[in-house]
Amino acid sequence: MSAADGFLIPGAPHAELEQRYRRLLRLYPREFRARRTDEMIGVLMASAAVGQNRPARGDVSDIIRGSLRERLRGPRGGWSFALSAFALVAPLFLVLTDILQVAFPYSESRAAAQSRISVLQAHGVSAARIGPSAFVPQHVGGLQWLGQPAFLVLVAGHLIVAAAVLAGLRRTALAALVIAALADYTQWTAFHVFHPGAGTIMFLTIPVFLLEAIALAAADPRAARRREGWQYVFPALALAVAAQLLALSFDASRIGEVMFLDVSTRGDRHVTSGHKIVTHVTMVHVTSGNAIMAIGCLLALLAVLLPLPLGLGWRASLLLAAACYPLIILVAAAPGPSFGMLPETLGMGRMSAAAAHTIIVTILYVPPLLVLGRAVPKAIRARRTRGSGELPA
Amino acid sequence: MQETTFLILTALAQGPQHGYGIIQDVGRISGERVALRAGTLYGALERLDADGLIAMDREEVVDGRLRRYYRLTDEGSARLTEEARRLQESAATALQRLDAIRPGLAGGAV
Repeated sequence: MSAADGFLIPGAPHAELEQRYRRLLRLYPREFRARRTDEMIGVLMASAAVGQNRPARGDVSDIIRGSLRERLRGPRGGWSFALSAFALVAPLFLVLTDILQVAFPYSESRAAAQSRISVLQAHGVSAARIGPSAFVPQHVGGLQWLGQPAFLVLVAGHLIVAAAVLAGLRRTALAALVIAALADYTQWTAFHVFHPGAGTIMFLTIPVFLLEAIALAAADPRAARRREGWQYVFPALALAVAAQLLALSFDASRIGEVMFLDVSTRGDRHVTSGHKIVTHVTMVHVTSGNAIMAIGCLLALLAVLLPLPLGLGWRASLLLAAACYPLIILVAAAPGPSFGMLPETLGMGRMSAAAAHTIIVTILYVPPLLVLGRAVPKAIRARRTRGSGELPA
Repeated sequence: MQETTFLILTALAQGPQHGYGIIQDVGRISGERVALRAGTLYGALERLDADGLIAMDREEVVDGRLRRYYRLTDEGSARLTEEARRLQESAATALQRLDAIRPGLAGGAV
């Protein structure tokens, strides 16, 4: 006899029934149980028949279903919570990427630049065609970026997004987000290397931009703060950021691959047809970084799983996964003994560069689009019913 | 709005009720067609509470059992009003159309 049902007469049939129901309610998450068990026992016992000593079959299946739903949803679950918590916390990530770009500058070594330029020349790409800046060693990030207008616009945009989100100014946040994205794009196209310090950060911030825009359009970031435990999103996002950070510190020598992406995005047929030679260059240069990638993946996995025990619900997990998933592409694109299954099949070899590019872009955009497809119609519906509700009143 | 949600809000429209009271009332309102069970009820209460449509009114202990009473919030009654109007309009349209095809069969359309 447990302490919880001590007030019942021992041996009475209802004491047995209650104990069985209590055992059944253990299926619910701990946090839910702490709030609801006594109340639910009251309801279950009130609806029990005289002399009943086993849980009703209908109640058993109902409790199993209900507990499953509760576990998947999390006590704070639901799209509106996940989106508003994400909208609230993600600007932090964007500001962090700016700090990273200043803190971790990259300078292309003379040898790396030489081999990159030789590939360009081998394919007849002239300075006149893609600009002379492609034919010198690249320097990306660092303190000197603070003197670049595009970067300053980017940082200002991110700071405004963070402040506007906290103040609950959704439209201002969205506008600043779009301006920052444009500045990011301008800056990114100015470089000819796909370096962790620049291109990859841009690459990794794309989903955060997209998701933040979706989250702002669909949910009020301040709504998350009204619910208990929204701050649990922070550790999960911190892990996600750490995962990206590790990915960013991945060896910068993947110049060949970089070229492949850089050149193919320029849509130059003549150059992209030579992607086999580019593959060769990639293979020669990439020797290390897999261990770092593995740790990064592990952290990303932890970040994605963390919302579940914290009771944030699987939707928060999905958003974090969407924020982390470019890492998967990085991993897939990293040649080496344990990774790099993808480059052989994706683009470099059997597949055309155009097809490979389509696949990469699809992988990159599908998860946020799935979220968008679900969240936006819901938000519009909610707004419409709210709007029409005000008319008769 | 799901029917269960609609019925729970309707049950609370009369005044604060506790869990078992809601179950009995929902049975009555639906003509004993909907028999709510604890798992479904508390899942719904949890969601409605999180969305701010209902709130806890008071707690009582009766025969050593905890009873929590819930009430409709202002937002909750606004949403219920909207939904009820919507349903009323749809039902009226349906009856009107049925009456137009076969007068009398729909049982006195509005």
